[in-house]
Amino acid sequence: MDYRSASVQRTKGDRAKLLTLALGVLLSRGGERFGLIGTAAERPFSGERQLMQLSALLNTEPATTPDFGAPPVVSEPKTGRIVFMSDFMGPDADVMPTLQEASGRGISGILLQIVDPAEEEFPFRGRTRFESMGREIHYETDQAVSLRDAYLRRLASRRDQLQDLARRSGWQLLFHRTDQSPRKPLIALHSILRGG
Amino acid sequence: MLSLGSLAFLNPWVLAGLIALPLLWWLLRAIPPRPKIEAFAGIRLLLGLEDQERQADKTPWWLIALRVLMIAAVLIGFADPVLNPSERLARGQGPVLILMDQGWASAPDWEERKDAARAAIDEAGEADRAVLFWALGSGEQPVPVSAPVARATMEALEPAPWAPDRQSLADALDGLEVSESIWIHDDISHDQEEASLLSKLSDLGPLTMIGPDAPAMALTPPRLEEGRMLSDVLRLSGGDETRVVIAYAQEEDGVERRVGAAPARFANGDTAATADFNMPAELIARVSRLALADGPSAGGAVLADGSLSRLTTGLVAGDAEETIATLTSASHYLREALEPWAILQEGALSSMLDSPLSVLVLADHGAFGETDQTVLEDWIDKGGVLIRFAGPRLAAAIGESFGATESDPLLPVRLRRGGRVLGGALAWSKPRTLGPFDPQGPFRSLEIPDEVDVRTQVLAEPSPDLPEKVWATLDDGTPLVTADQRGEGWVVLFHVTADAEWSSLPLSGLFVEMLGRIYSLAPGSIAANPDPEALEGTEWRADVVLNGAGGRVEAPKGGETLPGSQLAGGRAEPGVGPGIYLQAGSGASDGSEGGRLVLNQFRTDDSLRSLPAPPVGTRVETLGGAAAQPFGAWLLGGALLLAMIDILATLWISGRLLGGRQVAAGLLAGALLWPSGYADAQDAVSVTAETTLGYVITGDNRIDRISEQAMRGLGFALTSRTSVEPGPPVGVDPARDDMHLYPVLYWPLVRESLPTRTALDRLAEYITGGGMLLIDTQNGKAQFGRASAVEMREIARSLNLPALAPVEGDHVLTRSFYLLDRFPGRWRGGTVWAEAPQPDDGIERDPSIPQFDRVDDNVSPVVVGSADWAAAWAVDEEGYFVFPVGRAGDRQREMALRFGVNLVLYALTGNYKSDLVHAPAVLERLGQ
Repeated sequence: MDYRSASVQRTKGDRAKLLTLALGVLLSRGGERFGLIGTAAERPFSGERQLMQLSALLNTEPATTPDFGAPPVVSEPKTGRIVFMSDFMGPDADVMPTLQEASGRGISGILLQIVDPAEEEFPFRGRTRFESMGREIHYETDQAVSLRDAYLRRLASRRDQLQDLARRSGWQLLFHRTDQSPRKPLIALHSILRGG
Repeated sequence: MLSLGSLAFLNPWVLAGLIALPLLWWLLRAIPPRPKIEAFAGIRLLLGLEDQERQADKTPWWLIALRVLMIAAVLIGFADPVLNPSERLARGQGPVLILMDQGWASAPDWEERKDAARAAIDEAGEADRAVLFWALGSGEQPVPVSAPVARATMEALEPAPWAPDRQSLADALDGLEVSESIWIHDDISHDQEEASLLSKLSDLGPLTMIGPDAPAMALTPPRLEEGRMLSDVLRLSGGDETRVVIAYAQEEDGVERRVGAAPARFANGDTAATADFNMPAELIARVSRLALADGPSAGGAVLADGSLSRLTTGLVAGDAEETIATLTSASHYLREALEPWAILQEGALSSMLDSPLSVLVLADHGAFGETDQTVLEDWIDKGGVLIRFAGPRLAAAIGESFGATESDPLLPVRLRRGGRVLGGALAWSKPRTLGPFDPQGPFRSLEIPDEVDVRTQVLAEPSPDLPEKVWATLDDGTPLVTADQRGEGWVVLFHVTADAEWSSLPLSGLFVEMLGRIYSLAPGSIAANPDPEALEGTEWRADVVLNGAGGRVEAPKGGETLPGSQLAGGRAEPGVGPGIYLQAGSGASDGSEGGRLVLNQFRTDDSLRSLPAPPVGTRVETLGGAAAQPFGAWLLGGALLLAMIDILATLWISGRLLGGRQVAAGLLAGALLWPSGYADAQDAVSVTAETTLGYVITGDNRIDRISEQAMRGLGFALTSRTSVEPGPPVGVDPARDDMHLYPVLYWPLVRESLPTRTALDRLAEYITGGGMLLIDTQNGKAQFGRASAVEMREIARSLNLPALAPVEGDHVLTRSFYLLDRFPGRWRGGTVWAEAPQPDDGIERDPSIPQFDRVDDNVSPVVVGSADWAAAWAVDEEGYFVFPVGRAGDRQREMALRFGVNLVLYALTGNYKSDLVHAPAVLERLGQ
């Protein structure tokens, strides 16, 4: 999520944090209780204090930069709704079970896939060595252009997979590109959560 | 030395390296370019994908070709290749005769000639042969010397301003002991029996002729035709081409300036073309030199002779003897009118006739003595132009010495006794104006001004030949100017006086033009082309000469004199360069009374002929074409260039080269950022096109950005609320920019960035010049704060601020638009200071009347506060306020904006509101 291509201003992580905080503000104004899964503020509370805590947590730098973030496990799945913001680029084995489990418990929610424009368009050319964000895996190609079609097919199939998962569990799937205004996904999130 | 045709290598063994090139090719094919590293979050999706095109990873063939080419260029470059290695001399042993034309025609390509001579001498030196170097210009016969000596002689040569001296060579040739000869010639025959010279040269041994690619061109002296100046450009032959001739005039300060240019267009095969200068006559009269624009030489330049320079003119005015010359006298009018055309000499008639004159002007001269009469008639017959003006004396003399039937030989027409008076106090008739000029006469197409009128004139006796002699008439047809040709000269009579007594003609510009036209008739200074016999026994001294390159050079004063017989040829010849010569020793040292002679290389109707064809067996070469040219350095430079291209190409292939879009974006960003900081000269136009709010650039980026945003916010407020609609705000560097364009300058005076001394001085100048500074310390303190007190005092002193006082209830600032009692910015409660009002002069005042008359008429040059208005006004690009202001809503920001509006209107309207707002109250109180 720390990735950004040259043509955009912010990383996907920044955008996710911004959306989270904005959503928190909206929820707080609406008197909703909310929390951040997988952190100290997981227990949902309402009000300014929770918002402060949320923003503090979002501001802390993570200790490590893993290659891929796996969705945190939802520990207290009683009621409520869940918003997962991610690029969903991690290995299937890490990403899918959590989602399936959460949906399996009957909690409804929203998946927001945040992608960088470079990830959608694959603008690379020539001899290129791709490295993961944590520099753990790499992939070298002599002609990056030739990979484009295959890559886009895989991206589409990953989308289909997510879409499929969402549909089966009654979740909503939203897309957001970091070169677009965050207002759109925020309005979408807010209206979905409000509407229902 | 390895020689391949016209190409040779000095270090051919380096070329062996070329064998390695195929190996290099193979190596380069084998090594792929380095990959570019990309951190990419979507890598998981890539894992397991196969590359479609394995082959494309190799370095492309054209890049390899580029590199191979680069290496090859380096190798060949180091092998010292030489193009056209010079090999002119036959393999003989005796001395080499190297001839070099040193005349005017060698000047345009003199450096190339020296190159050729240098190459020939060096080659002879390499072969250890003696050199007989003979520059055809000096006429001295050289002796065989070693190559370095010959070369030293050659390097010091300059082209001579005359034709090369081939005659002395031909004379000396029989006694010369040479084995072969090289002649660097100018391709032009100078009428010196060149054919026999050539055959004699080829008899001596092998002959090489090195001639110019384009032989020099020549120029004939200018001549006048119908008021235009013409000059012929001469050439040997050639196709269509255009040469430009430039006319120079010498200014009074002695400097030559270009006054005109005319093209001479050759058709294919023409040997002469005419340059036609369409210039005003007074400019033509001042032309001192013509020269070809390119290929300048002493033959391609001419000094203007007497037909163009101002003619020597004698002026005899009836009042010349009077001690007090007034501004209404005839001599004054004539002096002024003749000035563009003539070199004037004034005096009595008898003294005039001794000196050589071209034109003689007589203002109202009566009868002549018998001797004068004869001398004048002679002079006119030889080409003198006599211009006479009528007047009381002339009128009185009519018919005195000649009978009523006989005509006066010094008048063009017979005159009637008694003149004609028009428009006098007792006359019915009105003054007459000018009629149209004779369309064939010299005054044709001159513009006739309406205001010229003629009140009195002398009348011509009607005669059959009168109409031919009339050049100008009045509107009723009576002659005003008559003229008659006598021999080669002219007699011209103006039937009015040369002063404004009889007519207003001398007052008009037409008078000057008419005289100019008459001058163009004069066949030139009679002294310009004297007879050879007349030159016998005279001594001449050069005044101005042309140098070899056709430039005008003042001859040294007191140089040696030349006997007149040398000048008799009428053109320049070896030893006597083109120039203007003055007769020496004829009494007058300044030369004004002695003769003046202009010599040029060519005369009108001359032509150029080319050198006769050389005998069979002569080697003919073209100048400059065959010089040895080492070009290894070019190859090495090319290799360096290829290396640059290689770098770029490699970057491009690996995708590291910045794309055009990024570069464009960078340039755009730079362009956008650049002007925002500074108001340069370009901005002055836009700044003055509408009211522009300015702010002082402190150098602190944050503060400057806020200032800019604040001025924009204030501009929005002004635009929406008032009729002031400011343009985009402009940052001003007080040390550099012109600040007088801005009615108000916002100056955030913060401690971190205090202005420099220059900036303070210029700000002081700004407020003295009527500007207004809003100084904002931005710290919200009621006072200016202890910390900056010292600096504030220092700044106040530097700015030469007037006494300040807090802005109180009746100050115009409180009511120039809104009625305000406080001036908050981001902070509240600070005091705002402005120029203190004029001190009370002890008058009792009614405290209930607003004290507007106490306020000084001037706008306060400064308003000082600490409320940080910028923060309250600042808006971002999208129009949102940048900083939170006040705790309770927008009230405080609104008040801050109102203060800003008031301030700008105060700066723009002054104390206007002071009077107007309270006019009702004043009227009411007056009524009580």
